[in-house]
Amino acid sequence: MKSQPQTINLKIDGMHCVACALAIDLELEDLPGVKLATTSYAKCQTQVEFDPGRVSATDLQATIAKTGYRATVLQSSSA
Amino acid sequence: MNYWLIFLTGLTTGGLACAAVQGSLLAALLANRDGQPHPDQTESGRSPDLLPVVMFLVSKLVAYTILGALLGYFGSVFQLSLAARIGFQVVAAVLLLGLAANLVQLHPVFGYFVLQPPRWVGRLIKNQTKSRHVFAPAVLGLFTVFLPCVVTQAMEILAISSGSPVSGALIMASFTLGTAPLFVVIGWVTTRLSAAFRRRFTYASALAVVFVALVSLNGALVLSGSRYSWAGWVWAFKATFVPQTLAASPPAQQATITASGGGYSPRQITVKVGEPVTLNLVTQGNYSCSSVFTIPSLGITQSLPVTGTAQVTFTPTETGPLAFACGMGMFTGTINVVP
Repeated sequence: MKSQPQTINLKIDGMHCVACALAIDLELEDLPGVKLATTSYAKCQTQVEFDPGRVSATDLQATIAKTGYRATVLQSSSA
Repeated sequence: MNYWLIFLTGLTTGGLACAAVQGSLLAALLANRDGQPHPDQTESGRSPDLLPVVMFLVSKLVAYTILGALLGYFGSVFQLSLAARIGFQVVAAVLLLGLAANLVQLHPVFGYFVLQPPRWVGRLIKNQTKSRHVFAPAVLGLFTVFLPCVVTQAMEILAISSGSPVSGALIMASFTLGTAPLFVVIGWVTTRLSAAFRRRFTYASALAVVFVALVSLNGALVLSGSRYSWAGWVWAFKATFVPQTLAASPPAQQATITASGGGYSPRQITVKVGEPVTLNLVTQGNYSCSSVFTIPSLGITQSLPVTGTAQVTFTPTETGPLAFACGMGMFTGTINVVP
């Protein structure tokens, strides 16, 4: 059974440099099942397009936490 | 333009955030190259490898100097008229204040003042840290130009504002040189600094950026012929409380003024009203903003050669102080027009 791709918006706390925003994108996209991650430093948000069958929102938050920032779910939607 | 001040900014305050980010990138590169999971797990007795760090810093310096020249050239193209210069300096001041506010995290909205590099930059840099090529640290140093931290961006605005490729190159070179010692000391060995220590450094950076913003704003005031610039206030103070320091020398309709990296000399001359005045402006190896001589209230802008003499002639029609200034409104002087 193929999972529908989902898009989730996460609010990021603790980003103090623009390089951090890039680092978050790269770390998330390294996760299997994540198609695209776009982080905006100015908006303190990241939008992630992922396959919920392979990776969960909690996994995403955990990866962001490992990079050093706290992520909270803003909204999620199915594509 | 005081390049020592910019060097000091890099040395004391500009380096910290950059050192943390770039240091961890370099550390990742070295760790990947040596096939080790963590950069601080070196064999016992093996001294830290200084060559990659030196390669990194040298290529970073070269890259930023070239960038500075390009930024300065870009600035010169847009600053042909006095009005354009004034507009530029006001915009620069606003951007710089926004960056300073972002540094102290005054409000999330100031995040919009910071330039976020595009995604391909992150991809490029991450791939570079995986490279095992012998020149990989040098290439990484080059790529850091695409990942400027906030204080670096402030210096880049200053470089554009200076309106000359040489000035822009010197600004970025001085700043990057200033950040080097801090980088070597704390950057490439991943150290975790206490939050309080980092916060103090950040406030110092923000203060430096605010200072630059105020200088830019003041420059705009000077170039628009305003009496409310810093030099204007100083003049008014002296005229009111210590008028003897403004005692005019015997008026002469010809004067020689030397324009150098430190400003104009002499800074005060006296002329008679209603008669033509000729100013001989002398330069020798002048790459600073004083190589553009302006008398804002008369709308005079004169570009001076790097080495040589240029003449400016005008006839003053009103008595009183007549201000002259460099192209950025930073170095000022007064022509006393007497009856």
